[in-house]
Amino acid sequence: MSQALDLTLTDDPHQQNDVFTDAFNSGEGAVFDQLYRSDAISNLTGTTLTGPERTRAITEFLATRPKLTATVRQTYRTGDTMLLIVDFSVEAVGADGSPEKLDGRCTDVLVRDGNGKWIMAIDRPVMHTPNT
Amino acid sequence: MTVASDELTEEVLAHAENYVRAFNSGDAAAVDLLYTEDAVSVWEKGKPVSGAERRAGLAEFLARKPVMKIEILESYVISDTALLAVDWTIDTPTSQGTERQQGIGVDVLRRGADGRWRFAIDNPYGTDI
Repeated sequence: MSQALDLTLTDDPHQQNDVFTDAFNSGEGAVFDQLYRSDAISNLTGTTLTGPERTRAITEFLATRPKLTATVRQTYRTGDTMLLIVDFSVEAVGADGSPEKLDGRCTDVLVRDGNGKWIMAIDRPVMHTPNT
Repeated sequence: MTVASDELTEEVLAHAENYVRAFNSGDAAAVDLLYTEDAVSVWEKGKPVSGAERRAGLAEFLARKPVMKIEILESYVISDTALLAVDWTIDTPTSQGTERQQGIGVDVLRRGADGRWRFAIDNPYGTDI
């Protein structure tokens, strides 16, 4: 599988957001999955998942080529833990094949792994309710 | 589907309850033990404080005898990291009666090498930014 993306996350939340967006928009679950710790919890597909179920669900979703745009709204950081609050918009294809737009605000927790590199531990997107 | 060991989740929820008990006792030193050394608190939206400033701010606030109540809305717990969504109120006595603050916090906890959970990012207004 070709991989032109540099998936290294720096201390800069805007760089992290760019890497996540590029990896998501690559459509390749195997690429996006490298940003997550193996035991991470993800709610990106609308269900709370971890382990192989998490990888399978996000891989299936990304294969439908959803397009993500995201803006960092707030970040808080300690030596080894980071909280990112990000506004996002995803253009996806609904179950009936029609275009679907999903807007919301996501809370991401990143931690440093054993090598000191940042990696996603927990994500928690919350969709905006319609007409708000 | 198991998203986290039930035992770890129990530990994190117990930590949150301990926090409320320590907070309501007014014992700043006891509350401080429930944070990591470099923890960040965001009592004012967009204004994180840490270190001596965080400790002093907490001690000053606890001296006003605030009473906290919480309800944990969501918890996501893995081996050494947890995210909680917490509905909270704090009632503080004043000369004009009781002043209420409230919000839905999104807090991050880490589990130390000693196996104990501590708040790393205390973010009481959550994603209301």
